[in-house]
Amino acid sequence: MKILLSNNHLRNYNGSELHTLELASFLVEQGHAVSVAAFVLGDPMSSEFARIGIEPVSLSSADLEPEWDLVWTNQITTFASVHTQHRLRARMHIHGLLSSIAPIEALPFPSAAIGGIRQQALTLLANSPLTRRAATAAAPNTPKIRFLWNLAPEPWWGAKTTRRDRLQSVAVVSNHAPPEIAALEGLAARDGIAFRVIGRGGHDYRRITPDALIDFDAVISIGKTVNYCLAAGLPVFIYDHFGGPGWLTEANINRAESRIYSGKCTYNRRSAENIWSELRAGFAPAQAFHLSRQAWAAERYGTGQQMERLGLLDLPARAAPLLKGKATRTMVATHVVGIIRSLLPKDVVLNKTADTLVPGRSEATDDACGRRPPPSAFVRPTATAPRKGVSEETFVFLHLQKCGGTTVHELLQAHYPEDRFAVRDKSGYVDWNDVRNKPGVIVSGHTTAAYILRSAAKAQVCTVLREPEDRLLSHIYFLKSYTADHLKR
Amino acid sequence: MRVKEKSISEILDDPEIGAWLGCYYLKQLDPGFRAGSPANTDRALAFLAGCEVVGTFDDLPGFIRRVFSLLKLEPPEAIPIANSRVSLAGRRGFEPVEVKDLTTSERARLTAFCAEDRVIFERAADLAAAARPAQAPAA
Repeated sequence: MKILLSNNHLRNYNGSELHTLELASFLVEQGHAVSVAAFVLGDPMSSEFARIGIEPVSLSSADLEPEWDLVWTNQITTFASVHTQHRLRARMHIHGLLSSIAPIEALPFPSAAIGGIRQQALTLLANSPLTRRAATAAAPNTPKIRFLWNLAPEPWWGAKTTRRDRLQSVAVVSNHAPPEIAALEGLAARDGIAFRVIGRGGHDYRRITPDALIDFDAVISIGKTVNYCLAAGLPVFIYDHFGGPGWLTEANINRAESRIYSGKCTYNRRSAENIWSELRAGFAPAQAFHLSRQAWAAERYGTGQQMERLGLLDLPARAAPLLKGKATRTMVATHVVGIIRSLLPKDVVLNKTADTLVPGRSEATDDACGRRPPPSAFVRPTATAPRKGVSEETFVFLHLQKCGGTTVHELLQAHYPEDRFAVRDKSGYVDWNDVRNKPGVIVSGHTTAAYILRSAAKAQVCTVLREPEDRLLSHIYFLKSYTADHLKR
Repeated sequence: MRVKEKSISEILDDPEIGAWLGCYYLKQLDPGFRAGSPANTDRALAFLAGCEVVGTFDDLPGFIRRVFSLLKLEPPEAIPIANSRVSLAGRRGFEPVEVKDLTTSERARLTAFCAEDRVIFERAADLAAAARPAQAPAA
C-alpha cells in the first residue's frame, strides 16, 4: 500500500515525532511504501528516518502525489494542509489525537463541518480516554474516536531480562526534568546508586531504545517511555513536571493509563527526598508488578497488535478526498486558523486568511511542556500591536467560585484603596457599568469571559481554578450550608 | 427543591440544578457563551491561554505571588485563607452541614459530571505548571 504519514515537526526526540517514526518503521517492515511529510524537518529525526529508508519531505513545499491508499495526519496543522491545501485523495484517512491539552492536538474540524466529512473514510484515533474526552467535549457530535495507545514496538517486549534485589541504578527519561528530579542526582551519589538523565538538558540526548534503558534497574519518566517500560518489564516510576503517582501498582495503573501516564492523574509534586524514599522503598514490589504486567503491556501497546485489533489496514476500495466541498474546507481552515491564533501572543497576527492557508518553513521550537507553536509561515510579527502586561491596562481578577478567590480579593484589598476597585454587589459580582467609566480600575470579583471581552478586551486577566470535582463539591456544600433566605439575598 | 436535605446524586440528577451547576468553567470562560446554547471548549481554552496569570487552587500561594509580581507589589508574607468553613462559623445565614465521605457511585457521578470542566482545568494546570518557577529541592 502507498501510505503518507505526516506530523507538524519531525526534528527532535519528542512524543509525536517518535510515534510517527514507530508507525513508519512498522509499516515499512510490513512491506508498504511509506512517505513522510512535516512542516519542520531536521536532525536527529531525519537521520532516524534515513535508517529505515525514508527521506521526509516538507509539507509546505513538496508536490505531494494526489492519490494514496492511506493518509495519516497528526495535529491540526497537517490535517489542514493535507485536506484543505493539498486535497489528497485516499482510501482511508486517519487522524491521530495525541494530547488533551496542546491546542495543536485539538480536534481538527469544528462540529459544523462534520456533515461535510466522508465519515466512512475517516478514522479518528486518540491515545487515551483523556484525549478522547477533550476532543468530544469540543465537538459533542464528533464521529467515533477509537484508541491507539502510545506504541511499544516489538524490540521492547520482555527486553528486561536481568533483575537485582536492590535498586542500584536509575535512569530519568525527560526533556523537561523538574528541579526535584534533577536533585535526585545528589541523593543517588550519596547512596551509591548510579543515576543518569537522558533527554534534552540531561547527561545525554538520544532516542530511547531498549539498549539505552535495560541495564538500569528502574526508570523515572512519563508518557511513551512508560509504555516502553511496561512492555519491557522494567520498573517505571511516573513523575515529571506535573508530579505523578510514583510507582505503578494494580491500584493506580488504570487511572494513570487513562491520563497517558502523564502524571496528571495526581498532579502531586513533592520534594526530592520524598521521591527518593518512595523510589527506594517501593522498588521490590514495583519490580514484581512490572514482571507480571509485561505480556499484558506488549499485547496492549504493541504496534501490530493494535493495528490488527483496530483493522486499520483494512481499507475500502475507492480513494476520495476526505472533505466533500469548498465550504467544508473553508470551515476546517477557519477552525485551524482560529486555534493557531489563540496560541499566539497578542503582538503577532496571521498573514494568511483561512481560504488561502499556505503553511511554510518554520524555525519554531517546542516549549517545556511539549506545546508547539505553529509553523512560522502562518504568522508575521507586527511592531505596533500592543504587548501583554502593559501596566495602565485594566486589571481583572476573574474570581471563579469556590477556587480560593476570596483570599486573593482580600489580599488585593489590603494593598489598594477601596475606590481603585470596580463596584461589586453583595455576592461579589462585578458591576461592569462602573468599570466602563474608570480607566485603570481593578476588577476583582465574579464575572465571565464574555463580560471581560465585551467591556475590557485589553485587560490583563488573572484567574485561578480548582480540581473540578472538588470545586463542585465545595459549591454544593456552600449551597447546603446557607439558609434559603440568605441565598435569595 | 430543598438542597440542604438532598444527597449529592439527587442534586446532580435534578435537571434544573444540574444544568445550573454543570460546565461551570466552560460557561465562565467561554467568551462566546450565551445562556441557552452550549459553551465551546475551544473558545474557553483560547481565553484561558490569553490570561496573564493562571493558577490552581493547590498552589494558591504561587498564583498570588505571580499576580502580585504582575502588579509590581511585594508578595504577601502570609496568606490567610478566607472563606473557610472555620472562618464562616457564626456568620448570619451560615448553617454548615456535615461533610460526608462520597460513595463510589457518587464519586463516579461527580467525575462524569465534571468531564468537560476537567479539560479546562487540566489546561489551566498545564499553564500554571509552565509558569511556575523552578522549585528549590528539599534540604
